[in-house]
Amino acid sequence: MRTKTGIKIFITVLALILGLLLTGCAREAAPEQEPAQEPTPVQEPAVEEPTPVTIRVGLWGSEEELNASLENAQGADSMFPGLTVEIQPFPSSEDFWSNLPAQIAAKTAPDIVKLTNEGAFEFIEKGLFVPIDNYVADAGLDLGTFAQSAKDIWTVDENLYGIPKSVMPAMFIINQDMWDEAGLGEPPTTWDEVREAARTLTQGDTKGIIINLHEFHLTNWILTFGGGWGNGRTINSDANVQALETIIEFYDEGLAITPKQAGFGWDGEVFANLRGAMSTGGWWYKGYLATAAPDINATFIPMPMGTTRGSTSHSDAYVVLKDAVDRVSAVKAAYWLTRDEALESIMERVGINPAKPALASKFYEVNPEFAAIEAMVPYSKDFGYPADTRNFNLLLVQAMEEKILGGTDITVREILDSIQEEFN
Amino acid sequence: MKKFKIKPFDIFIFLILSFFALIFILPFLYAIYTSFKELKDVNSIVGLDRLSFDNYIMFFTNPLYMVPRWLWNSSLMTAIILAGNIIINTMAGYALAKLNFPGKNIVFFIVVATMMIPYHMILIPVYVNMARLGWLNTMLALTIPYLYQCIYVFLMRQFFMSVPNELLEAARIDGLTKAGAFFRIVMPLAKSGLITMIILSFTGTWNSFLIPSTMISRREMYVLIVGLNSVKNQFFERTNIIMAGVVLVTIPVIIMFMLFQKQYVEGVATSGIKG
Amino acid sequence: MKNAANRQEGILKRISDSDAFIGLLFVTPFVALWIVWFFIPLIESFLRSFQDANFITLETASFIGLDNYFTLFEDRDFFRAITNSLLLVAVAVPVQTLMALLFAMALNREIPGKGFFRTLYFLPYVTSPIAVATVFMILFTQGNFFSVLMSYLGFPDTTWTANLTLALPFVMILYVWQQVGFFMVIYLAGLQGIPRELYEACQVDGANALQKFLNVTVPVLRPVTSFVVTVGIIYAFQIFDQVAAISRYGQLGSPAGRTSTLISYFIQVGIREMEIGLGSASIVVFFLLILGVTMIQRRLLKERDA
Repeated sequence: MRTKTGIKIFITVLALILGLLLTGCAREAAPEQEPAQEPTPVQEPAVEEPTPVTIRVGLWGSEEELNASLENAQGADSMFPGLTVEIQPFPSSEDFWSNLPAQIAAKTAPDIVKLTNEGAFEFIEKGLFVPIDNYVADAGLDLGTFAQSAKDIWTVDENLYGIPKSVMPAMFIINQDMWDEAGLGEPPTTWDEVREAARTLTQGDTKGIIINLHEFHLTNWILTFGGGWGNGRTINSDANVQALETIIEFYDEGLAITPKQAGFGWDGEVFANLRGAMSTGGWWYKGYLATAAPDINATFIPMPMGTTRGSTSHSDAYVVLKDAVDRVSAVKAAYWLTRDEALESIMERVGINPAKPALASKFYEVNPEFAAIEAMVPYSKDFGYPADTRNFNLLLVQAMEEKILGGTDITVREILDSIQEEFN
Repeated sequence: MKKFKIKPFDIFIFLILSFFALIFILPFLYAIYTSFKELKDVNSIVGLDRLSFDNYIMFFTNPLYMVPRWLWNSSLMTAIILAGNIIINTMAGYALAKLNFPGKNIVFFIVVATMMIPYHMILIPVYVNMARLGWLNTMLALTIPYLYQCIYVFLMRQFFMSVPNELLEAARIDGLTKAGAFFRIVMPLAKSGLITMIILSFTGTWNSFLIPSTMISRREMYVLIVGLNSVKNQFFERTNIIMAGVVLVTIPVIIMFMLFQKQYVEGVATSGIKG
Repeated sequence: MKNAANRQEGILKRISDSDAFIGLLFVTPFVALWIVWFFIPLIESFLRSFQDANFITLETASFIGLDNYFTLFEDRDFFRAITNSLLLVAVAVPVQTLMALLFAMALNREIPGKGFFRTLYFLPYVTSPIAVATVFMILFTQGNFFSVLMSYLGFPDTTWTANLTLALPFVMILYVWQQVGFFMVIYLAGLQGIPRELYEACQVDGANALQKFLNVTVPVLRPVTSFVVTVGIIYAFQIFDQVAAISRYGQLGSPAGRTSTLISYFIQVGIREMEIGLGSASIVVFFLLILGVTMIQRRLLKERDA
């Protein structure tokens, strides 16, 4: 009896100790790992900086891009003594943005992040990213070889917010085989021509054109009519109304499809599965189709015109987060990652147009299918979303889905007017 | 005495079960089938000649995907959490079911109310604490806060409640203490509840994504499901590879379940009152 | 010497016999962990709901009282999330409870391959929501298997996830399909605990299958059913994985917000738009809603074990 009682006592006491240990363990606040420092720009020339600094770079992308970046990150010491560039890979953009709030709260976020301009304005306005002109000057860096258009995209109120890595206009993609089979001749240059072609191309399971009800694609359409969101000031402009009404017309005539209707996630899948003959899109189609549908002959052409030439421009850049402790070193790390060899390696392995005109010519050599796009670069603009971008996107997409998938009577003008109200 | 059964009825049931079984297995069959295909064949039906183990081989040979390491991480995390759950949840559930202690009602309210608060609410404060303690990217962050689960405390309570009090009375008369009764009488009877908790806790922990993906940022410390999910490209998903990942993650759970469900053998329970 | 030993044993015995002592001892690990790893973080988040807190400007968050709550009640999307969640609960819980019970009972009989069936029925719970959503989205596309099948039942032959009325039912189907296995396992365990003698006693009295079900199975399963329904409701309110899986690349709650739920609202507002003050407030309101519904449910079903 004593042994059994003993065992029971032992076990319950053990449980008690376990409970207390865990509580005690957890309550013991370990000293802060990184003592908080005031970010002060260092006023010395870059070359004589001996203190070792590690800058963490958050980025994501394909395997090739990851591997290329890991290689590019090494050896920063040679240009900036004492500097180590550490890549902090994220599985995806979604993963980064989901975890960013937590990392900001705990101050474990990376120092610089490679981001696309789409949606970046919101965080520039709200102060998540810092203007880098001062730090660039302090570090003695020359940004002269970077494309002006790319720098313009990353400039807000005369301040530069990122060191650009790439610049690529959006484009229009057509299934050349379907096009030829329908005997359609030259590629289209206006939406009217697209409409004509779509009428012939819509047959069986295939719709003539994929119009993904997603803010990226909608923005491209409005830019081709000379419109723009104007960062929230011109949401309900006549040009915007005209553009979206044209989209509705395409749907009303049964010429268009959005990925949701086909059970897919994005327009590329619809295209690869031959459910759509044409689509707005970007350079990512090339890599995607190469593996997903290598038998398809895709032709890349400039965005068709509504009333004018226009398209969005995608520019990736390295931005500095506001909690970065050593901002000058952060800027140096970004500069290191965008040096000529780095950009060339990315260009070759990943296939993105670098943000330096000197290297860009080689890009069009290596990627001749994008040749027609080069002409669009001067016309390509930033997205112009209002500062509350995520909210805006939600409202815009919801309204368009409501109208097109739900078939309501509300007019485009009413939709844009009500959204404009929210952003006044 | 044999169970009362009607033959034709059983056949009818068998047919209905088969129908539903087909529906239940469909997505998994899709996952298996897709995992053997190349990306361009993903949305079409292809013959055996176009199928291969390439995707699986890729997972085990590509240095970017450290599947054996991730497998280890998942297993360790699950084992620790399971051990904690078995001890802590069972004890608390028993206390709530059979013992009268001060604050009993408050504790029960805590158990049920906690389930109503999505973990998202406290995820970030917990993350900040983990950062302060230096537990990020370690097994500690994945296990310590999860050594208990309110839902299983609740579950064990319900199962313990179905143990008749007469049994406990009989045990008292035999000279066992309350604590003794717990270990020697009650536990064996609530065995099916315990098995259930083990199955469900194992599954839930093995498949858990939110917490590991937040607390762990270093590749080598990923758990399996997070690691396999990281194959996403920036602009599109390689569905065939993702499906291979889904299959890899699911197989251990299926094996575990098949082994444990054998314990659900009817007829083991008796009312326990002899004579 | 014997007296001393007896007295010592007596004290130990009294302690390990005391309900209060053992009871508190047994719940201590649970409560201790809960306080440190749940309650304290919870207080922090709760306090945030009274601040105009945004992740980007966390340091300057200031106290604004109930303003966040007022904002919520003026947000149409918030009410839509509540409505969708209520609908999901109202449909999913009864269906999954009934199906789980029936499957468990069927798989408790002497059926060939029952272990195999049990595994198959548990499989959906284990399969990743992304795989499930991918397959179901394809099967429920216009002209495909399930869409056509359902059109015989009166539904239009269309792509369910692109249809504003059918999108939420689609999520319901997805969710119930995945959860049934979970509750079935619980019912299976519960059925193990029914003493054979009870059925045999009924048998002697000449009861048929239905009477046995109503007079033995249902009452003995009461604690288990209470669990299945209560937990079923609580979990159904927090459906999110399926919603996220069908709106990959798009807006949460797509199409047009018809599948937005409690958690998708929080993620959109609290994480994506970084308005954590507002997000925390939304969860507080939802908690009160779930609590209210659960209390009503338990009262209605006269839960005597509370």
